[in-house]
Amino acid sequence: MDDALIIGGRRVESRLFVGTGKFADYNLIPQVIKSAKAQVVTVALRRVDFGTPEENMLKYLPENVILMPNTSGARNAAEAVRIARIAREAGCGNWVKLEIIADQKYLMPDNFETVKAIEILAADGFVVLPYMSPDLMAAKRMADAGAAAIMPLGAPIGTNRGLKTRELIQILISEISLPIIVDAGIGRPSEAAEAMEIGAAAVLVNTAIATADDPILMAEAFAQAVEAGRKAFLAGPGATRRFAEASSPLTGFLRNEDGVAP
Amino acid sequence: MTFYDELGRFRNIDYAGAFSRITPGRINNILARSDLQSEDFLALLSAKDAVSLEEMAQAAHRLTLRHFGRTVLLYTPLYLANYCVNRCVYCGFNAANNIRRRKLTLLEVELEARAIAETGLQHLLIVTGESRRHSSISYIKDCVGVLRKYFASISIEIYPLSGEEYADLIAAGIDGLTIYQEVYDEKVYSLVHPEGPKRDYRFRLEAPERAGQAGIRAINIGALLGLYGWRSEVFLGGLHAAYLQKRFPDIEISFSFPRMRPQYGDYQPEFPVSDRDLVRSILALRLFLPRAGITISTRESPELRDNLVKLGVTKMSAGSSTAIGGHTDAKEAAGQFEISDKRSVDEMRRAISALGYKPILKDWHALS
Amino acid sequence: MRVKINGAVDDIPDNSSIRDLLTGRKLSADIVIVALNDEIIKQEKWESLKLNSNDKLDIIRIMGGG
Repeated sequence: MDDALIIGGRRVESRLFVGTGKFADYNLIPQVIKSAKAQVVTVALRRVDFGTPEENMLKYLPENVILMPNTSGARNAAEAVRIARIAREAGCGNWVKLEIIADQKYLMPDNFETVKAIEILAADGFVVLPYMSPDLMAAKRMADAGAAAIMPLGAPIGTNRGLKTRELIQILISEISLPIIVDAGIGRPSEAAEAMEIGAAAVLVNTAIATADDPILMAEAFAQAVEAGRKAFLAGPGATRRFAEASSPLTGFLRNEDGVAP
Repeated sequence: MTFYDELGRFRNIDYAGAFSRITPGRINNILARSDLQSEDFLALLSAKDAVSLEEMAQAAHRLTLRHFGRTVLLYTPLYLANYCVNRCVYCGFNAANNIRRRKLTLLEVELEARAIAETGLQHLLIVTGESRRHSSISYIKDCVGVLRKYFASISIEIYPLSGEEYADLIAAGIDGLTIYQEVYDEKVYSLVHPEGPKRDYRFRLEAPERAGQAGIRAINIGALLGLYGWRSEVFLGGLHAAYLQKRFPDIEISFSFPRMRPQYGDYQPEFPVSDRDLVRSILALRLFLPRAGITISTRESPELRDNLVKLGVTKMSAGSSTAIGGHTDAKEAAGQFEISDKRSVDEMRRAISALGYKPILKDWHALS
Repeated sequence: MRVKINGAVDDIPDNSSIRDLLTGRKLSADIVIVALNDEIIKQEKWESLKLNSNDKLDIIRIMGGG
């Protein structure tokens, strides 16, 4: 059975997306990507800091990855569009992770500005994957605006608290026909597995791998967790009764009749 | 894209094959989950044993409590006119039937309205046969103009209209549409509707979507049980309701289970539906669509209706008459079908309260 | 002449090209992206394109991010 993940018309081989931020050493990154068996890799764009020595991230990424530059730093749609266009012009491909954050305390994304940016970028040929706060109506608007997937946060960035927004993500999975990719908040492989079990199409993990004592081993753990979660989802979990209730019968009034065949 | 296109995918389901593969384990699995899919709905409709029916009932009961509490909305139909150009084989208003044809004057509408309003009911369903000459849109609009003074909510159960016509009636004051496909199987549909504009299967099927686009607030659909096999009919009807809910997330969707009753004329249903089958249909639909309303009319007996209150039913008609002018003149023209539950509104209210539920006479009121 | 580089106003020699600017800042060409007045300038043009007074330059690199 072909369980392919298709985004923006392109077949994605791995349901674990990895971020390249917060690594102590860029040299770890190629091994992490290999260990994670990841195909989609996020990068960021920043103005060069003249004081410190520079390195080109692209040099560390294997040839066959799908680059997903993010628009981190953007506080509104206009800034995000600008960053996305610069990234594309710079040879990063036409995928973009739309991240519009005007809240420095919790780093919550601005769903409204995100919808606006999607309209512009989708019309301009980008494959847009918006990072968003899981709200069904916002997700519908993003889908209508041309998003290629929806990336709801599992918990606020950096909190590593697991799927605090699980119920809301489940609603998105039920109601939106685009791939739902859980981003932010996944701190452990078990949480990645949980996201996949409830039907997420993929997960994006950055901090949990980058800040682990052994990032390469952690990447491998995440890869296995994502695979396990996906298989569990496909296998169809069995019934777990939460409680047994003794109550009076509701259908006793029906006399014993022969069923009539349809 | 409309539901007609969706239906295409389900046209050739091997129902017998699907039914034979249902196991008790599968049913338990379904009952423990939420967010059921269409395959689950089909499985619930097909399971045969009494044990699973009771378990389904307990699950449906709990689910209905969560979403609706202990309430039942009461409404009544008002038949405005029984002129009809169709010759539906199953209907008392069949053009070929030699019955007295009548149409209420606006004064009579006012009198009926007063009589009904006195019972406390605030939700009204106006019904007509299909006759663009006698029950024209402008006639219906005039009636709505009168009825608006008395009722908080007016729904229509008439022949299918175009989008503009629905918009017109909505502007005049209606907020709900009831329209039953009667039978979802296209071949049987053709057989039971031998003559008249109602032969147009697709136009009728797509009517709820036109009304939805025109701004209707509530849609009630269903199949006339008895015309064809109930399992496939309820299955397709449930899919129709699910489709409408998905396409119009802000509209209140509800489902009815009209079961064929003796009526004027010789037609006897070829696929009679037992009480048990009716109950299974209601439970399966409730589990498949937790937020859909479920309506049971006075076609059903008082005992059965009272037992259905706890099984997921959310709306019931009361103090009904299917005859024209039936609320004021008991000797009136023949009704569309025979009523089984003849209890008055007061009796219904007491019966519902006795079951531990609250009868609701008014759910909302339009502001403009 | 005065130009704006990465948001900060700065003085650079008249008739500087982009390449001159990068060399002056000790930046290797293969790691940066240059946008002049919001338009990306491809590497081939860095030598020939001369900067003007009040030009806005963004010198950008690709780095790790989540």
